[in-house]
Amino acid sequence: MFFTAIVVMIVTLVVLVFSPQQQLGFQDEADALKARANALNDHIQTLRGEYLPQTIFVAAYNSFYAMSEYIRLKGSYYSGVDASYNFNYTLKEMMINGTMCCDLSTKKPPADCDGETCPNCNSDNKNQIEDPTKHIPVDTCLDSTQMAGKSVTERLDQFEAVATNSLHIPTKFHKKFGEMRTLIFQSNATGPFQVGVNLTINYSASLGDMMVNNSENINSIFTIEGIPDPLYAISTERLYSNQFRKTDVTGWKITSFYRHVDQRLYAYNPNASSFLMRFQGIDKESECCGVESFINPFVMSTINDGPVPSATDVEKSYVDWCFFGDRCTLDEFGALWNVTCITHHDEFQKNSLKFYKFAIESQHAVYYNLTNQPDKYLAGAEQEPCPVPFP
Amino acid sequence: MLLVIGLLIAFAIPLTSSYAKQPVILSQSYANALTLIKLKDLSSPYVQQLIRDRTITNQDNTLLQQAGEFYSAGSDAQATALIENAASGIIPLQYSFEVVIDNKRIYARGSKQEQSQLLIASRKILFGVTGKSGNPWGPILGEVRIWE
Repeated sequence: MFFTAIVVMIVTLVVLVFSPQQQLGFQDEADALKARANALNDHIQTLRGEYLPQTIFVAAYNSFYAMSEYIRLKGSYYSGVDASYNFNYTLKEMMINGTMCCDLSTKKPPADCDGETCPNCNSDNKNQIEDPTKHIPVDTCLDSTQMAGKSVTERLDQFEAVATNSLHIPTKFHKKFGEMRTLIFQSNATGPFQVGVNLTINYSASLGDMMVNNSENINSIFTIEGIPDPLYAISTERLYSNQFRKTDVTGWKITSFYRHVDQRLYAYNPNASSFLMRFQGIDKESECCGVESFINPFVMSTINDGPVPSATDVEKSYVDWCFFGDRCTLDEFGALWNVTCITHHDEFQKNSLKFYKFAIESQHAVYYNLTNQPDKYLAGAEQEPCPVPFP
Repeated sequence: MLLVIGLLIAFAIPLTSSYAKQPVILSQSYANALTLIKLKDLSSPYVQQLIRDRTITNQDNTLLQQAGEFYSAGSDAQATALIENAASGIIPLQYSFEVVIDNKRIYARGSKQEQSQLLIASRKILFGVTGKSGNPWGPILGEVRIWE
């Protein structure tokens, strides 16, 4: 009996000694597995939620900037039956690869294109737009550093290198141009002062024996603030430019209107063309995203001198799309107005006084609240003194 | 006899895993804090001052991200000062730690790593954009190492 008890105790001891260690070993393994899964998950979250949207923003913003400069240097919008396709294809190529079909006479085609004898790429020709052998880096085309290190491909290369070599989570993107689908849009979701880019991209990442293979549809919505407006460059034959900058005024008064014109800011107006339309020379109303600024004749001091569209022969409203286009109806309410406190007609002081010959048609006068102050600020009606202090 | 057997059993059973893991979990939390806490959520007077004088423009950056941005702009000293002033208040004094960005030690505090029994590291790829005009910095690796 005594020996039986001793044996039972020894067996119990052996079981107790060994069983917890086995449990701990399994637990450790499970913890390590969980840690790896968490690390990989965190990596994917960073990629999907932060790096890819930011990569799209960086590439797209700078591509729009570069595209505006290209249109300015070329002196015309994309034209012909494939204009819209050619514009969108080029913008995508700028974003993804940082290259383009460069149609500037000062630029040579790629080095392997036999130098002098090889013709420049024609950016209004669909076949040449799609032929990468004729394309050169955007920065070479524009003599700039606008796209340096900012194209999607370059940003993905950089991420692959850090993830694989430093973080030890090998990551690989599918960077073939044709496999990446892009959609550039403006809508109620973006509003007039933002633009959205949707990019479909495939990638894989692995850690130990775990692997993720994803096809992601990444959406990035970003501000257009600071991008030059092609409408100004083209309409003034490269003489003047203006950058998209949103006004923060909501309740219009004569003083805020003065500052708005003075600072050349943009405001939403559903009758105006949108940011994207302005890149394609489309003068059409955009319900969600129309934006407009005012011609500032003080900054653009020769705007009335011709030969650019001028007010020397026919008076025009100084809203940019009215001034540069012919869609703006002047007779809707029967009048084109000067604005008290803003307009002056002294030709000899046009470089010292603001704003020579400034005019606005009735529709915009209502829109900017210039008529609800008993006709005070529309010249032609009874003149009122400017508020003090002014502006 | 029974006493001997009882003692054997007591010593044979290893510490419970949750008790043994406490230092690991704590260290991990402190290391993660630098990679997760956003500047806007910090009450550090030093950070508030940098926000006021516009040295820091993006309050959504984490501490480590902001250090990475300073480092990428060539301001290593500013990155060091940020970690020294802001992170030191987050990680208790009994822990030693260092911050390494792009393989360069930005800040170190406490004993030598070689003397430690337990070292925890938290690593993150750092990147960002300065201003509204889409000027990117990074990606670079940021690492927080913490030990007792």
